[in-house]
Amino acid sequence: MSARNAAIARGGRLSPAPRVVSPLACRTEGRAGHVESYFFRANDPRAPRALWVKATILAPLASPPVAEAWFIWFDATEPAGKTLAKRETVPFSSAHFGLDGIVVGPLELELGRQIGVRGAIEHQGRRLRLALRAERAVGQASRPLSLYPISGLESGPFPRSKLLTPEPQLIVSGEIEVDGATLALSDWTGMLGHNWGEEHAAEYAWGQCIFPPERDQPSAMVEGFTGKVKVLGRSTPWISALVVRRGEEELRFDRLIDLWRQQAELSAETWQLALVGPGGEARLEMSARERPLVCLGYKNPDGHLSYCFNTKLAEVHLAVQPRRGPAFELYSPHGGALEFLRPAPVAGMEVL
Amino acid sequence: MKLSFVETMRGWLTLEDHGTHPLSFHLRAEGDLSGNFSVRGLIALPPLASEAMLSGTLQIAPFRRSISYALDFVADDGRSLCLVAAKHPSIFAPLQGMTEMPVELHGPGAAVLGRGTMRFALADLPEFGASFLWRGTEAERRLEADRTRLERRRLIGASA
Repeated sequence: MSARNAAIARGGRLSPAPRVVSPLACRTEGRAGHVESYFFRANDPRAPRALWVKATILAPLASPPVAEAWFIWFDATEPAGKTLAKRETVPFSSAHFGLDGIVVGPLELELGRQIGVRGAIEHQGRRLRLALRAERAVGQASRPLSLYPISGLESGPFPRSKLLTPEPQLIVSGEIEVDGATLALSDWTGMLGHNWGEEHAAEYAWGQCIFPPERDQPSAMVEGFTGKVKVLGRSTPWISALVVRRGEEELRFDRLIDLWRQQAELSAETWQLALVGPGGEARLEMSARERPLVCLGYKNPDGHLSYCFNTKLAEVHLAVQPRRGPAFELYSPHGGALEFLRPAPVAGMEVL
Repeated sequence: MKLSFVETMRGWLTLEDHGTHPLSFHLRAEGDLSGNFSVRGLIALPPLASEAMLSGTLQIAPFRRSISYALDFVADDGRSLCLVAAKHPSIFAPLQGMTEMPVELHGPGAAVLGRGTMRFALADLPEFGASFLWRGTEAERRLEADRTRLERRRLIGASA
């Protein structure tokens, strides 16, 4: 008998049942001072090309809310590969954010049992059209992922910006048409993430990578962050967390407060992380060197801009000493999503 | 008097020409009061050995304040390698002396391929202590299960 049923049987007072919120549920609640983002990415495991689409909400403190659709196509294949990036802004009232799906201007995200992505844009004479569907990977690897050690951090006041990955491991198929050339996708790796909060985090590096199965090794995924948040108006030191899923096993390095067990180094294009946690010890290196990088301007509700530098083609090295079981390493030459949020732009780099 | 125990150590090893990599071994040692033990178990040192059987020797020499390991294994590419290591217990640094161990990786002809440090996690101490006293501990069962799994995978691979 559950504690709730036992309480009913005893005739005791019953506290309200905890409200279960879907990881996909929109958190805006119509208030000013809110940002929210749903983002989907798909990577070709065989070549350096990837798609990133975002549906975002910006509810400024002093003006009506808007919704934005972002399309970014990363292509580093030789000889013709070229990045394409476009943003479209529409009034929030014309957009739809529901558990069944999201529609923002030309972007449609189908959620629920099946995940689909559709959209088409034109930009400076170039054209991108998407018709994708995604299936969840089999087993535990596909269950929603939180990098926080306790669920209260997803709903409480701290930190002010929240991060969840409702779909950490997807298998993507369908078609992408770029400048008239149609690409048929087969077994691309993908994910769907969800962020929200009163504002964007002060500064962070975030990364995610899916490693397809190899020889007798199961598929794996790593996701983590190093960030600074504001407490009483002051920035904290770097705080990091990492989760590794390999087959049915999950290794967590997410204590957050044990800063003496965390070593993080961020440069303009690289992120290195060494963590000790309940799962053992892990070292992650992600690099955007010589990879296409885009800069997105993220507006905060108070009007100031944060600058998001992002590639979906990062090189990834992961080395893990699990608490139980043999040490292992994973490598991806161009499968990593790597994002830096910074307070200032880089001179000469176009801001989308 | 026969003695046996199960031990796990983890660390990092820098290969002369190929960066730093995680290293772990899980072994069972059997010996007697002379301090000479034979060992067998599993070692992982990616990318050289994703997971390999190991065998070798362990010598406890209290008067020389030394616990030395020589662990032989075969890399994924078929090379015979040996992990050579020694702990040096000291009354001035008992914890460090018993839990930290410099290691060298030797290739054919005793060429040194890499160096690193391994550590014994204090969280493993109860399991380690129990393995001295009883046979069939959880650590021992896990080791045997992993060895069986690896042997089965090797046989399937060889017949494929």
